[in-house]
This record gives sequence, C-alpha cells and structure tokens, in this order.
Amino acid sequence: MKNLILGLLLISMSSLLSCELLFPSDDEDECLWITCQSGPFYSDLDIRVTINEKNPTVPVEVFIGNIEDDIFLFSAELSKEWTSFNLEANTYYSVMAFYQEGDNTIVAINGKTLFAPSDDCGCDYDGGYTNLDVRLAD
Amino acid sequence: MSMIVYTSSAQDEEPAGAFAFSIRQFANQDDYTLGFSLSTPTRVKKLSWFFTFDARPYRRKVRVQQSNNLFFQYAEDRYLIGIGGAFQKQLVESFGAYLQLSTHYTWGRYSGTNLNPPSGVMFVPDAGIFLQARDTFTFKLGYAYQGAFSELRRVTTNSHHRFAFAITMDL
Repeated sequence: MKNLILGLLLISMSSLLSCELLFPSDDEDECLWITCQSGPFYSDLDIRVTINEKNPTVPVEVFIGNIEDDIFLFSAELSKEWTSFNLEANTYYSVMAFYQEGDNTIVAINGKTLFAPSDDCGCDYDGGYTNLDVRLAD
Repeated sequence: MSMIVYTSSAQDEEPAGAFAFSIRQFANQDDYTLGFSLSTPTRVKKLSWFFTFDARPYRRKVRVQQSNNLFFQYAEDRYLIGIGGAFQKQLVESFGAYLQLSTHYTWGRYSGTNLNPPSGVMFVPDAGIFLQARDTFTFKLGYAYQGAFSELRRVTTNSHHRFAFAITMDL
C-alpha cells in the first residue's frame, strides 16, 4: 500500500515536470517581450473593527511598518465594521484601534503586507485588497 | 546431539531504521495547532522516538495588561518544535492505547509590532487510543496537556487541555 502511494506521488511529480519540458507554455514566450510597469501600485486595505454600543465609532491609526517604526500615515474615526483605504501596495501596514470597555482601554494592534495583484507574466497592477482584522477578541 | 532453536516473535522487536510520518492536530475551544512528526522505532518493545513541528495556522488574538486600565490586544503567531517518546500497546486486533511524552520549545510573533510573545519550554504528555488500518496507517485520538513553564504562564490565558488527533503513515 505504501509503495503504491509513493509510486503515485512520483508519477504525479514526474508528469508535472515532463509537461513543462515537452510542452513549454506559449505564455512564457509572450512574457519575454513584455515590460512591466514600474509602479507604484495601489490596492485596498480593508480594516475591520468592532462596532457596538460601547464603541459606536472606533478611532484607528495607520502606520507604515511596525508601530515602533513611528512612520505615521493617517488616523480615522471608523463608524462601520468594514472600511477600505486605497493605499500603496507591496508595503507593510500596522493599525492601532482604540476601544473602551467600561473603565478599561483596549488597544488592538495588527499588521499585514498589502500586496498588489500580478498577472500571468508576474507584472503587478492596481487593484486587489487585503483584510486587516483589529476587532475585539471575544 | 541436541539442537537449540531460537525463535523471536515479530512483535518483540521493531525493525531498526524504519520511519513513520504523522500529520497531527491539537485543539480546544480557544486554540488550534497543526503540524507533523517524524518517528523512528527503537529496539525497546513498542517504544519509538519522534521529532515534531507544529504551528497555529492563523493569528490568535491575545490580550496583555499594560497597566491598571490599559490593555493591548495582539495578533499572535505561534510555533512549536519538539522531541519525545511514544509507547503503543495493542489491545484487541487493530485497536490499542498509546502514551506519548514530549518536550517542546515554543516561540511566537505579534503582528504590527516589534514586541514578541514569551517563548519557552513546554512539556506535553499525550495519551489516547489508536486504530491501525491496512498495516500502514494509524489513526490516533487522545488527550494532551500543554504544560507551560516560567514566562509562558504569565500570558497564556487559554486552557492547557487539548484534544489530540493524528494520522500516521509507516514509510
């Protein structure tokens, strides 16, 4: 049984490799003649926050890189669960969201790289989105 | 003239150098990790050694108290690497019980900040039942306790108790 499984894995891998060698994709030839745009490119950063009775609006601060890098980009007061910001892609962003729970202040922090989508030739272009979740934990 | 014939039971000695590969999961209502292990039997009856790597396949939100009324909530990645020993006892045909003891080093990362969660050593006993299928696959279901030491106790707020599930394939 194990020999059968190993054999199937080897056959699958060799089939994939041999297809690439025997039947090279025409798309790869086309890509040789294409010059990608240099950018910058822009995508949507979708920030998700918790909206409730105690927090009908949530102030957020957006940074480039980690919070400690101190490259402040902008702040906003969010009144919806999802809010999109069109920002420069291929950049790491961090978000701080400020909540109130009774006498306590909760600062939710999260970060993610906003990537630009790319086509079959590996060229980036505008568009796409990345979600960044700074909701309160349950 | 007498002849002495030596016989050995196939169950008494495991073949040295054989390996087994496992996909394993640990979960409770607050946490989940997915990983793999590579094990090799020893010459001691039913005992094997294994190496493991596990990771949380998502970011878990953890809350850290900064001062009296100020808390920070981070999105945490977590990884574990470890070694251990396992003992299996066949009870009825292809069904039996197992006991595993392992030591892991765990570390993590908070997203969006240079701060990192505590890292340290964890001791994980794991016991349960197993079912063998076709002499190649073994399915394990059990209970594991992820016991934390020192710094980890300070911020580990979720339960140490886990369900353990693994599928093992003999190589």
